[in-house]
Amino acid sequence: MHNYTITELSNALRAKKVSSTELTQLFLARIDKFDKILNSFITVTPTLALEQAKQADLQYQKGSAGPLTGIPFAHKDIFCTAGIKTSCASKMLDNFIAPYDATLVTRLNQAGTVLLGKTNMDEFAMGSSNENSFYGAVKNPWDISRVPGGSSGGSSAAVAARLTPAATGTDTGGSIRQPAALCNLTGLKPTYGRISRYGLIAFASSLDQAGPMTQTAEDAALLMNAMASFDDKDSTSIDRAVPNYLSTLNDSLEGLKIGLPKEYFSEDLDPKVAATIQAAIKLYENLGAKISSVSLPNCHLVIPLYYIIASAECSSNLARYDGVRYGYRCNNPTDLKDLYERTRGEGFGNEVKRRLLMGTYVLSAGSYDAYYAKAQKIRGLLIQEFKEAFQQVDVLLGPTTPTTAFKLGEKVNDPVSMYLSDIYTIAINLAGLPAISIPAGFIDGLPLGMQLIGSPFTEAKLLNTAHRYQQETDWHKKVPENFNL
Amino acid sequence: MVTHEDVIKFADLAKIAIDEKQIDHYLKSLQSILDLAGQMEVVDTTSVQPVAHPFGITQRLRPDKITEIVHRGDFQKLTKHTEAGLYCVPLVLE
Repeated sequence: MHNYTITELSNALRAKKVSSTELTQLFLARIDKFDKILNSFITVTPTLALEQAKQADLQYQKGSAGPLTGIPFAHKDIFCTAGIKTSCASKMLDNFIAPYDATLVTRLNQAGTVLLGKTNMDEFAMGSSNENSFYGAVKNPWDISRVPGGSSGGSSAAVAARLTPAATGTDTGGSIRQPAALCNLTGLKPTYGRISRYGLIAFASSLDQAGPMTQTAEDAALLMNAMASFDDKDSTSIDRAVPNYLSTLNDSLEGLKIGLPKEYFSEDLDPKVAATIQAAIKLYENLGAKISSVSLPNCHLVIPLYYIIASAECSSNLARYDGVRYGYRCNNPTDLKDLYERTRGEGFGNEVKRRLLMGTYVLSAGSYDAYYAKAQKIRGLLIQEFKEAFQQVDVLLGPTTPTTAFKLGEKVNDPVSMYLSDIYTIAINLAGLPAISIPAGFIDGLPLGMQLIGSPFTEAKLLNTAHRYQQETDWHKKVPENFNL
Repeated sequence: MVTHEDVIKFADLAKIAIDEKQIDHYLKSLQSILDLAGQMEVVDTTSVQPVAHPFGITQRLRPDKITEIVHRGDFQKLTKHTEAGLYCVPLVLE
């Protein structure tokens, strides 16, 4: 039953083939057995989980259970969970017990999910490999000498190894989609403003978005029904009706116009990656989709754009970590300046400090116009290019990542090389668009993901397009052998 | 070009203590990112406005009424460095 999707588990619970308490015990036992290898959890919450499971079982007895009642679940450790350590995988918040629940957490609690624990991540969501965590690197269940991707690497590894049927992630430059692709999962980054950011510890406020990491598009749709909402506590939340994402999952793809950005299929693309994605394109043609080429001429600039904008925003967001009101404080500060400087110097890891320095530089007098303002202008051009592309097509398709999972330690000393692993995902965050990564095949035993990108608020179309592909393929059903026990 | 002194200045602005031994390491990685950023110069943005929001949405406002209650007691449980409802820090002025 550890391989069941949420949909299958929900049916099993409703049919009383299993109780939520039994399911929760099953997943807690799997975490206990396997997580010493993967390091995908920072905090496991067995007492809370079993209490929530007990309440869920009572709801099933009363007949008042919903589709997510009693489903074991995990949250990336970037979401505030009241009374539970919320660390962002940083020494800076190692002692932080969140005083409130994020809106996302509240909504999933109200839907009846059972919290197994908080998953590991790159520190403050800054990274693409989950090697930047204060609590140690996470391993990819498909090959434990390789990275699971990041920054939602813990969620990704935990779901891939079926230590939890699904988990939340966040995506600022690809941090749901890239680890989903490297671990054979479905990962959805919704439209900016679709899911509340209240209680999502901020990295880059104009780019951050929460989303589900699941085994299937169907499960992602089920979770989106609970996660998506307007929230007046989030000033960037967009007040727009939430559709029933399940209702259109099985719509025909006849006539769907799929665009292939030619810049994503250049001669630099690895031939094995290209071949895998071409096979997926063929399948979509067989389902009735019409394929055409589009262009995003400025997408080669996404790496510098992102690292200027995201670093600038994070330098502002992380200014709150000063050792005064919560979190890490250095010992015996001599004065206030020393308190701030040593708290932040000792509390943050190297990648975070690198980005804070970068952000401070690009916002400083003399640099602001040349870097930050310039980047925000080119961002406007990129947004226009996507708008023009979506006048011709319904959905864009391409690889999620340029390679399969790389080796642990391979890119830690070369930040630019690490940043390039997000080359296909970053533009989507800059433009605020929704995108989903789904399993598209294997190369030398390692999973590869395909990305579908939509215009704003077309998550239903993306989930439908993904689901129909998953009805014709079984890549998403594969589980790493060593964890399928 | 980013210099050794620039890194020291940015670290001071960002209020981050950096070991002298780490400065060259940060300098190299900052420079490599800024080298990439140099590609932006060729793009003509003379008539383009900077983007504040991907969909051009403006900040939502609410009525100027008090809606929050004071949570100081709960929040101050997060640190031991408090006294009489205040946060304690090293002396700023003698």
